[in-house]
Amino acid sequence: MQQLTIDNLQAYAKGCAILGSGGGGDVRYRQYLVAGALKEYGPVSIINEVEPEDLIVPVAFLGAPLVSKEKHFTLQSFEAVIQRIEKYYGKKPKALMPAEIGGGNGLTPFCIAGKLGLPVFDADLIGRAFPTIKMTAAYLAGFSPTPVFLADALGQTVVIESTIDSVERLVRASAVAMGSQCAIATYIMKGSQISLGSVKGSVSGAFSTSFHGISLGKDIDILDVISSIEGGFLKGRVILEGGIEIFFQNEYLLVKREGEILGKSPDIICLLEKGVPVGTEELRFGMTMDLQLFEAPSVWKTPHGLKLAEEVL
Amino acid sequence: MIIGIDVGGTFTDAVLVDDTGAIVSFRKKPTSADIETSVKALIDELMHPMVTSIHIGTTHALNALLQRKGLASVGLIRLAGHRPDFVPQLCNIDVRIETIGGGFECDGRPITPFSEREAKEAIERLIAGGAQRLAVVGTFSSLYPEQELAIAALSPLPVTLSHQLGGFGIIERENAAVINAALQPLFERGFSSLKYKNTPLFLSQNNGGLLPLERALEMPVLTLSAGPVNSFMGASRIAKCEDAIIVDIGGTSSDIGYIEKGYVKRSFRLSEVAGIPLNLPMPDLFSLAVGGGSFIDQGGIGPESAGSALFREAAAFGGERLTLTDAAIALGYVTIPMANPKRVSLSHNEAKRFIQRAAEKILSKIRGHKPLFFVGGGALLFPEFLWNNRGEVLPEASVANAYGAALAEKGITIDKIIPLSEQDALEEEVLHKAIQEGADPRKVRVVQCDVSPLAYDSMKRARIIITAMG
Repeated sequence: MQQLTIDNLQAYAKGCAILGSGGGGDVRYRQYLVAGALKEYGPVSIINEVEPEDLIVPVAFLGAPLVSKEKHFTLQSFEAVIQRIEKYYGKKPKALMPAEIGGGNGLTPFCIAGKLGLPVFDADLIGRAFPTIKMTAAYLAGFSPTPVFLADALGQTVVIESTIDSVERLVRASAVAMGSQCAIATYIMKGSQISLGSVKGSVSGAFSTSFHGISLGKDIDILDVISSIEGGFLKGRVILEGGIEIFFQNEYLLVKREGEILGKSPDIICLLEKGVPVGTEELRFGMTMDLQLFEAPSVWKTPHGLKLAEEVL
Repeated sequence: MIIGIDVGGTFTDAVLVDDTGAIVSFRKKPTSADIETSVKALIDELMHPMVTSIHIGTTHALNALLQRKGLASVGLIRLAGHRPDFVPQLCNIDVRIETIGGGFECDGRPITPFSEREAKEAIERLIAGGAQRLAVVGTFSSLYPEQELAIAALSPLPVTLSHQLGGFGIIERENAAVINAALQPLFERGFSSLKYKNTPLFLSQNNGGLLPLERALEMPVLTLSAGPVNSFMGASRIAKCEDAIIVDIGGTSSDIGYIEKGYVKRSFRLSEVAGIPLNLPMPDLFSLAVGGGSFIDQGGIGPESAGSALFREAAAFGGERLTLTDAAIALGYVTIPMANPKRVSLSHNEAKRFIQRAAEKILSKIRGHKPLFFVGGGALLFPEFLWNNRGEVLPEASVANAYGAALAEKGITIDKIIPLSEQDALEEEVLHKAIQEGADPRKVRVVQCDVSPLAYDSMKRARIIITAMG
């Protein structure tokens, strides 16, 4: 059985950062926490088989990047979420899984798995990073994100049961009230639903993601970064040597060379500096980058998937 | 006139510079273990009635950190009422930690109430445990510093407050505060006795400007990268070129840096110093383990170096090992008193291959097409034809650091998160503070300003790093 250990953590974290496509939140801070958790509680098992009636809980740490770099994570917040879930469903969860593999949240279940004594199921809801709760394989398969369970750093909880159109708004408002940061569990599934409602194999796949990219450019310098904040999103474009231009909104969305499209979301665009994936917030004039493209999970290549993915474009 | 001094790990260089910026004279001495003996001797040799200030650049803080030597035991107080789990302390030095209530949410509410009694008890426990200096870091203290300030008022020991070092991200800000506290006693031992009669003394800092000695004793972390910064600035001034690439070839390594509009280009990725993640404004620097003392053999060049033992260990000086300097001596590229080319057991072709390969290694790491200049003692080993006709070895190569220190201006960098609408007010503040730190009110101006908007922030705030000098 596969495990996440201190020794393979770095490879996994790099894979998560690449799948973040420039967004998805800070990986490095989350990596520090997982290292601490692994030291304290030992390696975490990654499982790929469950019984049909088992409860699987996708988790994430929701918050503005500003906040997650200042206010550290507490175990208490996730313990409160899991307790609330047990009460709601009348049974203990069988496994955790990342709600979103791309970015810092690919690591989130591994921060808490050891303490809770739960394994991590080899799947996530998206197969990359996307900015809204709706943009998941689970939603494409007809599942509802509700009930959504939230908790603040002190373990105070909120349960949201609402229509699909209100979920995003209610979750954001609750998160702001919780200090712009909270633990979240959503799209809680039974074992019988998991094949349909998740991107299977994305956790084990992240360990080797970095080998699967197509290189679109090596050692190219950033000539300009044009960005602004619009509607709470960091929007803009970055111009590189060789007539390359990348448009972003938190994540990299579209890359062109001399006007010709080289790649676009839902495929995963990644800029790396000295082998380290660089987020859209970190782009600066003069940085020397490698540009790589990774193929999106097949669920995003269906007509429905492409349409949902286009909501960010 | 100004005396500029560079205190390196091996040698201390000093230059006397007149008001036109010309070097009047220069001196070199081995760095004494206590630093002050060699610095004082050099000041005495160069002192002139017209000297108005003394500027010192040093890698003392950096060397101490790299070797984890001479550092104080630090007591760290974390203000974090939510009691976070698995918070790493990444400095790898002697740190005791107490987490107490308090800290702030991003909207300014305390996470839990701050208690003076709890803070006092934490301070007492840290001191009882052997802490010699204190550091304090609070959740969102760069926006809301009041709890950190309250702790400073309670402590009998000198305290470093993380918000005063700016830097966003609590782990990096904590690290900056911890290593600053750890370096304070070392700086006091090395520099506090240097107060030189009536001549004001300044230390160079990471932003290329100068700090008054008393401030540098409080904030040694601001001097961490003064060595390369001075050499990049000095080289650009010697070359009279405001947009340049500078390569400083030393004994152990070569540092590559970039000058833009007369100032050192900064790095915006997380900087790591001595393995410690920091988020202070630092020069964009690429360090390569190739220098004059690098050992050479079938395996290639370096990374091991003879360092300060070059004149003992290198074959040309009667030693047992071959270094890059030996190869240059064998080829006749450089002549050094006491060195004998016949002792170097390299054929002409072998020697040439090593020097060429070293030059290629350095060239391969240089980005862009600006004019290229070489400084540092190791630069003299390379004839200009090896640089593909694009580099120039500067004549005052070995004193570029001290010269850079001499020509530096007084200045200050403020690193803050504020609403974008308050940017103008911050400009006023930085100019005012620069004058307080000794900048000339007639010359003071903003020389660098970087604005990074925060994503998902309803208050439209940005991290602004702004530097004024004069």
